[in-house]
Amino acid sequence: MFQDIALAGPILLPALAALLLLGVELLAGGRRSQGSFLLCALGALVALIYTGYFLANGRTGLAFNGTLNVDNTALLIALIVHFSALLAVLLSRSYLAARRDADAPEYYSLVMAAASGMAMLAAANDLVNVFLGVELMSIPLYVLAAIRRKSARSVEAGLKYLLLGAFASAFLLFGMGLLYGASGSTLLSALPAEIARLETNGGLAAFGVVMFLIGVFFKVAAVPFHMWTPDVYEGSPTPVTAFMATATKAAAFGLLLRFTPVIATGMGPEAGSSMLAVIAVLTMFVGNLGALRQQNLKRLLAYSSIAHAGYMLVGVAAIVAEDGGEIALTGSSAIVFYLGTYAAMNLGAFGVAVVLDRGEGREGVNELKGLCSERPLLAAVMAVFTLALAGVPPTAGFLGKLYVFSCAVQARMYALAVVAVLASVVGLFYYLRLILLMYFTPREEGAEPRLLRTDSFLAVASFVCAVLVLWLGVLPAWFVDFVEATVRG
Amino acid sequence: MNSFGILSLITFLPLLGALVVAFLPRENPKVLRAAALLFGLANLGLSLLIVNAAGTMVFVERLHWIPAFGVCYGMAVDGISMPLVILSCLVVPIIIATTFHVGRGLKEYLVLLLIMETGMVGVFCATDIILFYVFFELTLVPLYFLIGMFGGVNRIYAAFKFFLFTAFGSLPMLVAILFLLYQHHQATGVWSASIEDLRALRLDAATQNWVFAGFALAFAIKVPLWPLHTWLPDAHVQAPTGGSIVLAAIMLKLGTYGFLRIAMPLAPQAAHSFATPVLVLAVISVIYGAYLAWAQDDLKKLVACSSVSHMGFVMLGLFALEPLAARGAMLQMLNHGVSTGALFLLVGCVYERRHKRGLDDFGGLVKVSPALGIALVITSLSSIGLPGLNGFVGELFILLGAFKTQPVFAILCASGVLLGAIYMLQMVRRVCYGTPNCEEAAHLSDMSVAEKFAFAPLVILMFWIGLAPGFLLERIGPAVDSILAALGNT
Amino acid sequence: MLMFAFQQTSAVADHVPLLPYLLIVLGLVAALLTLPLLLGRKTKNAVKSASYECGVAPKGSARQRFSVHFYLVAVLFILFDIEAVFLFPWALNIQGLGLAGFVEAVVFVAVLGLGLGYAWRKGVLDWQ
Repeated sequence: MFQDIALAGPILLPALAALLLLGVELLAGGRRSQGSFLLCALGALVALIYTGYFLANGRTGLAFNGTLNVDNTALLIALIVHFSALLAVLLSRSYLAARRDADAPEYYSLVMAAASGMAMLAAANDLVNVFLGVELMSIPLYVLAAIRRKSARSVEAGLKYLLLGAFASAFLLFGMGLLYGASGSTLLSALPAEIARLETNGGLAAFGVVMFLIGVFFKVAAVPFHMWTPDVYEGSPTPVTAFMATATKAAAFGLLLRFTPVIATGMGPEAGSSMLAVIAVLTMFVGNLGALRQQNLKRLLAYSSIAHAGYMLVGVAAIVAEDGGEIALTGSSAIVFYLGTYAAMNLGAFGVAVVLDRGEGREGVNELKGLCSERPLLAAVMAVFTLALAGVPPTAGFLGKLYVFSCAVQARMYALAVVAVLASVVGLFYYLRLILLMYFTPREEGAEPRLLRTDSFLAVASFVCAVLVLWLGVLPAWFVDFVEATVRG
Repeated sequence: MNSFGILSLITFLPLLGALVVAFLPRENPKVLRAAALLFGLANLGLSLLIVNAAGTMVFVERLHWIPAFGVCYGMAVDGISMPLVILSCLVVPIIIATTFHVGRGLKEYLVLLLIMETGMVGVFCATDIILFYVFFELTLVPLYFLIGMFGGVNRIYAAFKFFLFTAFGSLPMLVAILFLLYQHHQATGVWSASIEDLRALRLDAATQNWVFAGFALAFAIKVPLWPLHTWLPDAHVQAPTGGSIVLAAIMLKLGTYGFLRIAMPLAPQAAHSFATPVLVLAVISVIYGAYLAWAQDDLKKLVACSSVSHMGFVMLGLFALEPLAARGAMLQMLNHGVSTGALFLLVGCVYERRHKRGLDDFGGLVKVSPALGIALVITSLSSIGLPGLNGFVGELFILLGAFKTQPVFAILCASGVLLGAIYMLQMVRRVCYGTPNCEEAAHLSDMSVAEKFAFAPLVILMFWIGLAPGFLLERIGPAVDSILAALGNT
Repeated sequence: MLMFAFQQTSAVADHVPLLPYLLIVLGLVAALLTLPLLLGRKTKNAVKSASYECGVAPKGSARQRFSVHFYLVAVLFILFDIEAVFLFPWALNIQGLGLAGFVEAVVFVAVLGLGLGYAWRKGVLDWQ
């Protein structure tokens, strides 16, 4: 019992923090946003350290009758989730301080609740827990998207996210039902063997897998289930967008990694990987092409996050194609590495977006104009993030791509690797445009000097991200080895 | 063997310099320039320590970098990379010494230049293919910023085009690299990204063709071979003087160096089967580039187009697959670096004085400002290949070698030499001789002391390589031979 | 858990005691519907003859605004409804689940209680 609770710590700690935040608000009552900020940051930090401690000491195992499988991958994903939560919280302070229409204690409590759901999703080994994780992640995010009640865009984002998210949940549930019907089990780890045993139900399992995947694709914003992404990312408060783009992706990909054996047996490695490959290609191109003409920084980053989901799906396709063996481990390590680096660079970029926003909702890419002469350090940091997102060496973004694409090569999916590389070239166009605005385009004649204030917490967050992005790009060995070693177990 | 040695020092000292300059106050340009120059010169001094590298890889460094992929931090030099490393280290201080025209943003200019030096030296020293790729791309970013921040009117378009062309080329190379790593893993069971290990792979002909194609696209864009050259005139014309010099002297060599060091040894059979198509493109580049240059009315455009022509010549030397021609190609890479670098330096000097670059905006430069005029004449002659100057030796070797294996292509390229003489001499006649075309052209100040000092080493190199090429050939020769021997009779 | 209880006693004979119960329910419903019809006083006015005596008019514009309080109360109702659904099976098995089960149920109720308290504090229950 206590063993189980200890193993579920990465899930329970943020939940506890969420409850504490509500309790403190209940007792202290109103207008203590500074206190709830610190409490939330502390909660995320404790969860992060706890997860890291378990990871470092190999404290893994099954919990609650095998319905939670807290293995190394789950812990790594939880680590990324809590890292994103912590950084998103650090970004939130100045963002919320400049706005009166969002309720701070509720906001922080919801972030923690979502983080708890994400950690659960990564560790879920039972279809019921998967659903529980998905909902515990999604419902707070629906509210967070709409938390600026007076902003039409924010409310629109929340409603869109709610409707399409509920739609996706229905698909997910349907898929789970079919999978249960095809196998007679709800344990994810038992599904492949059971499906293979009851082979007569093959069609049912394949249909179930497809339905289940549709639900997951909604969450990772894969084409053609990406339509909500730009609107929701644009309308949500910027730190929430950062959190959604990084942590939700990490959790959903964690689930997807655990689900790959089911895809391979349910649909067959050939069909499963071809479907994933097609989705990956579509996702990369729609994301990158869509980003080309965006004038809103958050919208641009939304499309970019779609494209990045596509790159990661390349790795998933490779894993499914080989169905087990060496590539399952390399592929998982690659995707986890990608998720970790992507979290750092994306959170950093959104942090800069928060600075540029100045509490006035200035989200156009043109706000980047002349940044290099006004705030050289901020511009340099943003340039690092942008180049990392574009995958230019020596940043971590390059190694992430290298790692994932090499999985495609190992799975002999050469065409997919080439297409993925071409998609990254398309991506260069709009990432370079950001740099071009920062460095090559001065602000309009007679434009008043801007007051770009960097909150100290935000500065720390951006600095940590920039250091990570460069460090992991130049000296990645420790992280790669760490990920490989832990994923291999 | 495994120590952090001289090559790492040469590679990363400029990066340290960039950091130092970045933290100096921007108010005092003299201090900035002096600090950058100090690092540049110190690095040049250090680079002279490797001057005796010849047939084999020396100063080997090898550290694990990403063990999971067998990727190492591997550095070493031989007779092929040594001169290019030294040239990189020479060019950067020359540019720093002539940055007086850069007003605002001098700090960024110097920082980018020094980061660039790290990338350039790193490319030539890397013995690990992933490390090579990383440095290869690293050179791209600072030059993109240099062009975009300090370039001419169309700088943004040019910077964009430059970055996209080269990145577009280098990403297929990445797939080829990943494929090779995987093949090595399949064949031996271990991951390795060392170029030496990958050379030992025995790939079948079809696979080699694909690998070669992947690399060739990246390098051909960099060289640049016709029809992938269109980014070059734009980038050159828009780039600031320093950017143009680096581009001409070093960046284009990354392409030819890549062919010699990576593409040909890793896919030897494909190098033979691709020789004819590559040579066709090379010949077109030589002749078409020369015609383009002939048609230009703008000094900088003329020099930029002449680059296309000269680099086509280098490709002829490489793909003649003959020892003498390959030596010539290596020499010609250096010569082009020295001569064209110097030409861009002089064009920059002229432009600062006149703020125009048209061939008809000058006249009588030799009389108006003798040092500048004579420098331009000497450099042009060296670029044409006048005996006694550096260009002659390289061209002669290439043509002699190529006549043995590829007589048709050699004859066609030889006509390029003639065309080169035509457009260069015409340029010299219009700019340096005759009478000044207008009032402004009659009163141009002569070279400053700093400019003379910056230009002097280039002139010395022109004469030295022209009169005594033996020193370099002794070092280039064995290294080139060992690569050609591996290509050998496949 | 309730579902499982039914499944375990699937024999038809086990359901026989339900039959009188069913008959009583049906009889009660029938009586309650017919008695007012026979005994009640008849009043006829517009309100009485509307389809729904209280609630929304069945005809007219659908674009009516409701007080948001309806939703808040409804959400709270669902919450505590589900709480009951979870507590019933626990209550049936309270002896088997023992102290651990009790603690879990207390935690569960406490979390919901915290939520209710928070909602109360935020003024969800005040009907202005």
